[in-house]
Amino acid sequence: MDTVQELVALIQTNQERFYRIAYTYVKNREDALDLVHDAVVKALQSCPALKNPAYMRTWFYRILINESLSFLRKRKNVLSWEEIPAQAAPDARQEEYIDLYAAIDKLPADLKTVVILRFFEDMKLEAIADITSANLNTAKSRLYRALKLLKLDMEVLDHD
Amino acid sequence: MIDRTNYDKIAIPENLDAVVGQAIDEGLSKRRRRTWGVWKKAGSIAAVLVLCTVSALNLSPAFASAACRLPVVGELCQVLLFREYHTEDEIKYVDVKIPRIAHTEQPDLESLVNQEIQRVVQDCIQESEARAKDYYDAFVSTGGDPAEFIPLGITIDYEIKYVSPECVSFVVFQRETRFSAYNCDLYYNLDLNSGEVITLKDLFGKDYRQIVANSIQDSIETWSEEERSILWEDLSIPDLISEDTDFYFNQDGQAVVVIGKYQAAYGAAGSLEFVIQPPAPVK
Repeated sequence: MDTVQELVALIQTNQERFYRIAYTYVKNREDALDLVHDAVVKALQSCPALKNPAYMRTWFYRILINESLSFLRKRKNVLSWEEIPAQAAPDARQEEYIDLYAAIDKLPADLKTVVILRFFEDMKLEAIADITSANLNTAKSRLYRALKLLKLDMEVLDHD
Repeated sequence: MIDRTNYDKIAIPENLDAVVGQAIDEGLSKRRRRTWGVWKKAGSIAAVLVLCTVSALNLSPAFASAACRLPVVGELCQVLLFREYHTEDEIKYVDVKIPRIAHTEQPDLESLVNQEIQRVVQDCIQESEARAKDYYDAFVSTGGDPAEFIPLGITIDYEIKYVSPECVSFVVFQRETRFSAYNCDLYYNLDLNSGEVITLKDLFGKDYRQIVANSIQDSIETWSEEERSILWEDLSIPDLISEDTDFYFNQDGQAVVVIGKYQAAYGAAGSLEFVIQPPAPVK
């Protein structure tokens, strides 16, 4: 199996994961699909640039996350109310989740990336550092900062 | 620490698979163009030489007939000539490469074969174009925005399997992107001395059906239990063999029978190929 075939297989087996990551950033179906689409096209086009196939997975995550972040940067100033999904009256337990997810959404993009990859994608800090092109200590401190912010945020919500 | 239930519950849109599939097609086709660009830039002498030869063959009949007397090039040029074109509109991209037989020193045969190839390829294209139009109409009539329709890609290409001074064997591929069920491969085997299309009967005599079926059966016997489980249970191999059965000659000049998708096995197996061994001589 050559690198390209390997990449196609990787994409096909993990497409749902990739969609969820993109969705977590943009919070809407169409944009998330667009992001996955663009990331796939970009990855296949630049596949020859990938020297070591062992890094294929992290490499693809990096492309997807960069796409997502640059999309968010472009959209920053045009976020409309319609994009915030209307929720049916949630039960108490679900409410807790929503608070947590809302808190994650409010994190700065670099901290959000670390949280998604660490807790939703179960990645090691080394891999996260690799994907975000940061060194291990930066990734670590981002994670702690994110957790601190989340905790504070949760506490504030609890007081309400 | 963080509950990921809700994350895992993010609904996956039905069309994710289609979107990813389309992206893969797009990425691969762009990549191909890219590698081509690199080739050109590198100015690989071999590539340029081959290109020159091919275009010179196509442009200059005088050069072509001279070149065909040379060894190696001479063998190749018999089906190296092709007509190539590209058209596109809002509903389809069409890339066509039609092979053309030439310089076999039998002009009648050449024009007969070329007309036949032309006719078959034309049928394929029309069929694909009609299908693209159907999809487009269905898309628009169900409220789709015409501007958002993803054009159907239609590709006709060919591959030379075997060339010798006596015969030439090649296959024409018809491919539609997005609908892999609509693939059609046309196999051609021509006897360059008589100008006849070679059939399995010509190769193996009047008992060809039994000979070919036996050889296929022998190949299947060597398969593992698991491999055999993909075959239809009520498969009757001799019924698959007729004078129209697809086959080609491999590089060793052996006949290889091609059994199309679904004909003998589940679709996942794709089409099956069997090298046919002639029966041992009876003593």
